[in-house]
Amino acid sequence: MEVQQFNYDNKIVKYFIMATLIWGAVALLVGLLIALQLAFPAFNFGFEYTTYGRTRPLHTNAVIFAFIGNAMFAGVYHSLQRVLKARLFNDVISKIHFWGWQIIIVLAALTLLSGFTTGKEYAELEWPIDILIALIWVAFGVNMIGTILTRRVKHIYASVWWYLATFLGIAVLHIVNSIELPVSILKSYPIYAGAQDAVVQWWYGHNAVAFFLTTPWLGLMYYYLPKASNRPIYSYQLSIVHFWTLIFLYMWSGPHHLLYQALPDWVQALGVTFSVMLIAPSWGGMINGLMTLRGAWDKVRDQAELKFMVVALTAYGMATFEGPMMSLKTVNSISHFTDWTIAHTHIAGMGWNGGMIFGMLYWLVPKLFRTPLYSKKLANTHFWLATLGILLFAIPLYWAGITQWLMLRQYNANGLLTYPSFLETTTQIMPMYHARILGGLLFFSGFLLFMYNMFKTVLAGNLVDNEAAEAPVLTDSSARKAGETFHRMMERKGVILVVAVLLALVVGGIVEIIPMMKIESNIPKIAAVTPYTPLELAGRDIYVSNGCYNCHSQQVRPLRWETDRYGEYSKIGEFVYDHPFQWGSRRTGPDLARAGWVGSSTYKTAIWHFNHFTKPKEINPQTIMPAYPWFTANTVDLTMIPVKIRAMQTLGVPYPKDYDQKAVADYKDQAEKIVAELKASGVDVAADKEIIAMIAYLHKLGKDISPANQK
Amino acid sequence: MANKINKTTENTSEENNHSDDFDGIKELHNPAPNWIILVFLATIGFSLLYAVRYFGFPDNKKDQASEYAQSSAEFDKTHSQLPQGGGSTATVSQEELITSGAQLFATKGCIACHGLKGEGNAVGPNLTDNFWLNGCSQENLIHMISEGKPEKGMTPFKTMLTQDEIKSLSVFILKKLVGSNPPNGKAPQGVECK
Repeated sequence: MEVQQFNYDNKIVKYFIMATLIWGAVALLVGLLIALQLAFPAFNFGFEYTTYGRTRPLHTNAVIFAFIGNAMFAGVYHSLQRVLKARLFNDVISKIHFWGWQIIIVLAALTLLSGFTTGKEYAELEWPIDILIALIWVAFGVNMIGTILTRRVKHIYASVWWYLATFLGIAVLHIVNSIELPVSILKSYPIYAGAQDAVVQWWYGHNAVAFFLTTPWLGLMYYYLPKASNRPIYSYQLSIVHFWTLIFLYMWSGPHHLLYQALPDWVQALGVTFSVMLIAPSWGGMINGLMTLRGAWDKVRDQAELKFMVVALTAYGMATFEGPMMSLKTVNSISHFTDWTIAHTHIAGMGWNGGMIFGMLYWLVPKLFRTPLYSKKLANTHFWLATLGILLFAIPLYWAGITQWLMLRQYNANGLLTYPSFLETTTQIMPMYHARILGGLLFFSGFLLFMYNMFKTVLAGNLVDNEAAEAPVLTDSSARKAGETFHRMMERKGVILVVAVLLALVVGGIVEIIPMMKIESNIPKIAAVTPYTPLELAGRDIYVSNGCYNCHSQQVRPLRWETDRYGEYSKIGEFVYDHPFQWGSRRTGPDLARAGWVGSSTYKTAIWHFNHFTKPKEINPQTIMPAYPWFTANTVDLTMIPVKIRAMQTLGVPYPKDYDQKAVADYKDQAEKIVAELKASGVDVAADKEIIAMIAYLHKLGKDISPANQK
Repeated sequence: MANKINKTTENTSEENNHSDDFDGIKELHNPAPNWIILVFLATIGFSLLYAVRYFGFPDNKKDQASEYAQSSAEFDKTHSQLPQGGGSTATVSQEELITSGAQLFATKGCIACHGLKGEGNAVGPNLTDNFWLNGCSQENLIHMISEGKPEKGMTPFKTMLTQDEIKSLSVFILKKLVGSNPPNGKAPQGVECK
């Protein structure tokens, strides 16, 4: 049999490792900043570019796509070549992939801080960047599938199944969720509205967790854990069963982010049931990982990389049990909109993804650079700092979440809410926010030790850019052999595997999304609900641009303690003109769905909003709402109004024909009324300032269905 | 003990039946542990029951709107027996009313529109002068706190404060704030009351 000589591309792996280290520090630092901002509003620094509504998406995007993303590419590109015995498919594509991804990260940071956002969580990036992401992601996929097709190993190893699911899953999710209508170079509206947008967005949002933070990392676990521990994988059978069940079931579970919200009951029920069924498939990965280590626990004591992987698997097991529990409606009514969810995501992010990244790199970097790790002692210190950091971060937030929920639903002996002011609950949990900063600080200081250790190791070692390898040429007979299982045959046939994975992935999305789009009874209309006026639409864009949804929901759930606090619960028909929906996922401040309902507790007059935006501390001394003084200085670009109206018409919003011609005049009329109202209270603002549009938008929320509007 | 389990479950004879070399990684052919299969079956069973409950009977009143209506009706039933804050018969001294009123004034959002010392601001009127927009009597004041004037920015507090609390607020305002003459008092609005 002919033996072929070839090289592994180590240089690209090095690049992605370096990017991981640098972006990891940035992402964690921004995390620390937003933790400080929540406890001490002064850390918003008084600039619109550094205010929480913009820095929070920067943190989530940086952690997921920059830190975890680069680490994933490093791990995938290193292991893929070795389990397939082939160099990466194409060096040019590898370079395009690397540099393209870094450009995306820089563009993301710049645009998010500048207020260019779609307002959809974890998919905030605007349309030109979305297109770039799609192209670079396809480059990654071409490189992967090309390598699979040119491999020298007959069967495709388990890790690679997970990598394939990652590529295909994210490709489908990203493209479907990002279909949007551009109105300018950095502004677009999603084609979906309201409840439809919510279903698509959380189908994406939840599965970004699945296919960016879970599947690639399970694949990496299947390579790096047996390599680092030098133990065989415990169960090949289990790896098959939990792979297929996990990728099939995950895609259905997105609606668990929308329980008790304005969504048809059947979609919610699918979200609940499929989430619960995910427990065992998720735990399959943890079991296979931990059982692989049996008989090797003495190594875990000595090797920091294995310690991190054990913590990672444990955190994964906890988070994937907790997640399905949070998908039960009763539990969800507690965890949703509170810090419980934040604690949950950080157990998974810091514990599972962080643990896997640290574990992988503590093993990989010395191996790649052919030198021992600079300091085992530092690595152990890092381990303890990280583990303590996670606990100190998560426990206060669980505490805060439950405390806030208990307060929000508490009635006094007279049947009235004990804490009618939302702010009282925020003030109560403030000490927990301080403790959380400490947890973050521990985790970050551990990361700095890790960075130092990595750089020292890299400097002491020397990398072979192109590492020589040899393997016999692959000869494969296509026919299914006697006694060969179907799955075993599929492992030999890359194309069939790709198609099978794709099929398993798309079912859940199709069953949930298409009926939401096509069956009208799913979206019961409300006659009183009218499209946004041009001024309200402009205000909505400012609301999105400043990331208000990061702290304020627009969704009153059908729970008595919510309707007593805010008013009538939200209906599907209220949101049919909302491109994008802005329901939010965390209430750091009160819900705003009834901010335009005269007589509700959240209805405030124009002058109140003016004072509150410019000097929130004067209205509520304990508030953590940042000040937005620039709202009175920034001017709305009126030339964009007709463009936006036409875009909305294209998306099906029923403005009268040729309304774009009249829109600016209507804008000014409505604005002048608010200007006059403010003037009567002694405040002079020009009609084209952002604050006027913001006030108009807030006064639209819930107005259409309010009694005052029916008169 | 650990070794014993390993021996019984580890099927080493099959360890090498894969001819491939996955960079030195071997795969054992242990079956998946029974308990995790049971967990999987149990969650599928749960989901089927859940689905029957939510899809099986269209009129079983398990939809979100009906559940809210039911729970809300139950809530009203229990709470209609409560005194709704009115019936307190215990005699409370004026001093106590003022103390609790001051506390409520500081914590329930009054200062947002009427200032820290009741001096008024751009939103709400001055509460320290003797000019009133909505009548002179304590009853007028209690009515205003209770029912509010939402279109002018005064929130109705009857769903947030008990009638006793509203009363103590009114006492605090009339006995403590009126005539206190704080700095930066807002210009008088409404009619002067004697």
